[in-house]
Amino acid sequence: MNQKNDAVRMRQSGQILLIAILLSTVLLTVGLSLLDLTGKDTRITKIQEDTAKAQAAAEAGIEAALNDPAASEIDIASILDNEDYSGNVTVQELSQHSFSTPLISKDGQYTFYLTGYDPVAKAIISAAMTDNMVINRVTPADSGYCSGDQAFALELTFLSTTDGVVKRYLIDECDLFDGTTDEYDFAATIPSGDITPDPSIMVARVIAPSNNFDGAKLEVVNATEDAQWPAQGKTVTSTASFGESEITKKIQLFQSFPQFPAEFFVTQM
Amino acid sequence: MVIKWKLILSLFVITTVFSFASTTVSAQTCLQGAYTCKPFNCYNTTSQKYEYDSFDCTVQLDPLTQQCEVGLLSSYRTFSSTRHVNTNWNDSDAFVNCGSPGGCNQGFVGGNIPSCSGQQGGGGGGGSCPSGCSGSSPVCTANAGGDDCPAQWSGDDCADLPCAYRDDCGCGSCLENCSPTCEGTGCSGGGGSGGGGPTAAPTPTPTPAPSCTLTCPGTQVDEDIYNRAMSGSVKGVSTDLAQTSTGGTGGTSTGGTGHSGSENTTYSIAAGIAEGDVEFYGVNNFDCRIFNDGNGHQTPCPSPTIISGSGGTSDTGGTGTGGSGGTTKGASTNHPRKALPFIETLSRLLNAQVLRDVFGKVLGTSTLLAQTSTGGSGTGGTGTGGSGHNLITTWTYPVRYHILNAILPQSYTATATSSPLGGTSSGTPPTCSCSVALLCPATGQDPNDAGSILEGCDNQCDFSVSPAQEHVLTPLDITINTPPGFGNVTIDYDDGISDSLTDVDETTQVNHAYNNSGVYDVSLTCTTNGGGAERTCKRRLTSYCTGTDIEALPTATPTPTPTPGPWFKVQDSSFHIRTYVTSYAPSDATPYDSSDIGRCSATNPNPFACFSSGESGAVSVQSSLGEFGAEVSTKGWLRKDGNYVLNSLMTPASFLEYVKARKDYKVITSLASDQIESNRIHLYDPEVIASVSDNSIPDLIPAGSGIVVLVDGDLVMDMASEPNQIFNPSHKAITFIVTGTLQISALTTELNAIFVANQVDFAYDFVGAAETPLKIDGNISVMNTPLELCNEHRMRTDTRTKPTCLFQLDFENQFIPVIDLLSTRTYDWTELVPSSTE
Repeated sequence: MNQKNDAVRMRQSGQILLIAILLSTVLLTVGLSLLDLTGKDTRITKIQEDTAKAQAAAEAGIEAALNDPAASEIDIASILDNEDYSGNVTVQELSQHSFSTPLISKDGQYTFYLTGYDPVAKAIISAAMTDNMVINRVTPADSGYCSGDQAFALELTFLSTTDGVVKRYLIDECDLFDGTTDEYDFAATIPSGDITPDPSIMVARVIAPSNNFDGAKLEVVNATEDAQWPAQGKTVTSTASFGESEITKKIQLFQSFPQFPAEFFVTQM
Repeated sequence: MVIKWKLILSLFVITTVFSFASTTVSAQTCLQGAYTCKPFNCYNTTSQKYEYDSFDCTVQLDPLTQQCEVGLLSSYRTFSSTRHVNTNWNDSDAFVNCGSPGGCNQGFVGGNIPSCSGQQGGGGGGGSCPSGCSGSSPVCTANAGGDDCPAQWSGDDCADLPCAYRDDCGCGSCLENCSPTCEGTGCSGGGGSGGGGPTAAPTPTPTPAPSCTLTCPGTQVDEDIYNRAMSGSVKGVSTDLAQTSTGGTGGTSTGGTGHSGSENTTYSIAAGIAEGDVEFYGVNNFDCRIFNDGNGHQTPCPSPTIISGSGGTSDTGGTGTGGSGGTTKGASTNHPRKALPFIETLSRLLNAQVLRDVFGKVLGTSTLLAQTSTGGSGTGGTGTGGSGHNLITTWTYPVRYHILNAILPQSYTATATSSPLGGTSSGTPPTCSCSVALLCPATGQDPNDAGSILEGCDNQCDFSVSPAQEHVLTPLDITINTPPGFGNVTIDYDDGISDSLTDVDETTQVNHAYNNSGVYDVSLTCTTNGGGAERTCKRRLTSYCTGTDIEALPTATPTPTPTPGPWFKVQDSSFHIRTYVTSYAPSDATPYDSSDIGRCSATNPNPFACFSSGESGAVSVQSSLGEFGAEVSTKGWLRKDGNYVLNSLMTPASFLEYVKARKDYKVITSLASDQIESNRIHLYDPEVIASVSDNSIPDLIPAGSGIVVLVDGDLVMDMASEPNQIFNPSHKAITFIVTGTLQISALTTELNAIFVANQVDFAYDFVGAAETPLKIDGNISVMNTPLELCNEHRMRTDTRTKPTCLFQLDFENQFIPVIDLLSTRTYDWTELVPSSTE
């Protein structure tokens, strides 16, 4: 009777051991898995952190460039005074054959520098303006834009630093205004020879009757062969990296030269 | 009964015998010239001859009354004859057509022959007077406390006063029992003087009957044409219609000393509307009491203007010398009257001149006013006074007849009625009238044209009509045009109907149809929502008769281009206004000053006769009613659009926030020059109000530099301390950006700067319209509609050819130096993909 009891007791002990081993295995597996996840999260967090720092560094580079009218290239590390950062900022004033304006809102205007602007001297560059011009309508793109809320006219004012207003044209394909004197269409060539004395600035003002007008984007093309427009603003490119991850962010900002608000430029009451 | 009749007759005879006056007569034909009259006087029993008085007379035509009248009149008793006959004017009977009583048929026609013996009886007397009057002549004096007594009559003998003034001068009670009285044989005793003894009873000479003439506006026609017009056989007013003046005084004496009523009517016709003055002309003391304009208005007659009057003075019984001629009041006279003050005299003469011209035109003559004379010779006896005054009066009363009877002619009759006559007989009060036959409108008139404006119709209150030309009963759509602030309107259609509306905007329409053809002056009254301000607009429109071919109607006489009122102009600038604007540049416009470069279209002969000169930009008006005269600019770029709402993102307040966020600026605590730095933006938050009163700020700015001053509040520009009240005569670059109101003093003449403000008051220290012109050289940009535009708050009076206000865009001097300060930047942000080497 005792032997029988002992045999039973031994079988039971083996089962317990097996269960314990199984439980230990499971627990170990779970533990190892948790440990792996934690490590990955840590790495992801690190990457995100570095990304944000790189982004911030790039933006700081933009800011630094904007605050220094004379800057052409800036070392990111020097800006932040931290060797963990790397990268640089470049400032360019790009001449272009054609220039695309930002979206100009209803009754807004864009100041286009025909002879250039010196951001250091904060002055318009005096030069002869001999280039012909074409104004293209980028948006609204619909050829039937005159039939609805997107109808607009474009008033072009050519200004001289010494003679003030020297010429005005109106692009009025939608016949929003009476009169046809000195009117052009989009894509037509506006000869510089018709504008005297030489202007330095062109102000393009969007006149849109509808409150639902979505804005106009224009392309100002230099219609003189091989000629380019002077820079219309600063192009700031900032590239920044941070830490061991060497995460890199690159952003570019175009800052226009001074823009007269239409509200200050038009006599209104 | 018999005694009474004899008494009346004797009084009449005596009166008329003594007064060989009032020789104005009804005219069939007036033979003018000089005549001698020899009326029978008496039979001299001693010499056994008939004696005659001899009168040398001059007869002329009264241009007003078209009656014969006697001019120079003298009488003397020198002629005698054995002939027992009457004589007449001149033996040749040249004046016979003037007839009795103007003629000299004074002799007896039978019966008792008066004896010359015992002559030299009493002269023309004034009769007895009641208590308070002395003697046989009324000596009551005028203006016994009467406030309304005209000065020229004050102190005069009451008997000399025109009847119309007697009550006002306190003479009524005194004279009412006197003989003669106003209602009797005359206002005063005539110049009868002593006559002879008992005379033969001459043929009575009735005093002239009071009468009047009314003339209505329109084309004067005779009665036949008028009647045909009313019957429809005359469709319009033709210029070849004979213009005749009917009338003339009529009426006859019906006995006693009273006058019977007389009626006199003139006729006119008009198409669509007859407006103007009804002109009254009364003669022989016509005492007008009631006037009815025939269009629903009855009123006491207007106070008259006296053209001329006459009246001799009463004599007491006399020794029988010849009667003196009557006099004309205000003219050279031989009866006692104090001299009128020079000014009064001149004034009356001028009035008479004007009236003479008026009536001269009406009557087709321009001859001088007649000065009728009265009075006459006394012939003795107990003689009462001579003839009364011949008072000629006039007045006018404005009328407007404009509504037909549907599409049928409508007659309007104005009537003037005198007071009932007194005296010893009563009669129907004399009246006169004029009638207008109003026919279908016969000319075209577009009520939407500027020429249709009768009153107001400015940027605050106006309306348009559709269809512009319509037949009677056609519904009209009338669109109210008012800015949002004027939300309460009342429209009067001039046909007795009106509408009142609230919450009106520029799309509000009302409908109306006229039931009668005619010409209507539609009045619109616009009131601000708070009721504080009111504007009006009156336009004329025509409701044509059914069947009228409107298209074929002749164009109405072109209404002259509205006289340019005060106007303003811009130069070298684009312009937008958030409301209606009227700024007529006159065709003969002249430059504001030497900086006004002018330049209008090539077809405009005057480079200054346009609203926007120089290199003009687009002009947009947030209203369908913008008026700039003949030409807006050399380009002609104009958009009038009531739905155009200007999008203003960069207001002074938002620029202030932009500057604080993006730009370098300096906070200042005053506008003192020691706080100002060149090429800086200055932020100033005044405790009360910012004020610039001198040129200390521009004086410290170097040439080529500039400043921007951001005022967080109101800014006053009052340059009273500066010569010619000019700010910044050196044209330094200065920009004021004002979040409140820019207040410019009324005497400031020139501001050389850029002004951007939330609101502007062009003459803040002046109520009404200041007269000082204003130039702003730089720019002015206001975010809200001014309560008054510059040409409404300033109205120069020195000349109409120059603008009251000139706004110039000065880019080179004002914008260029502050280009960095007065600007924003646009940003275009892009994320790029770094290259593998970056």
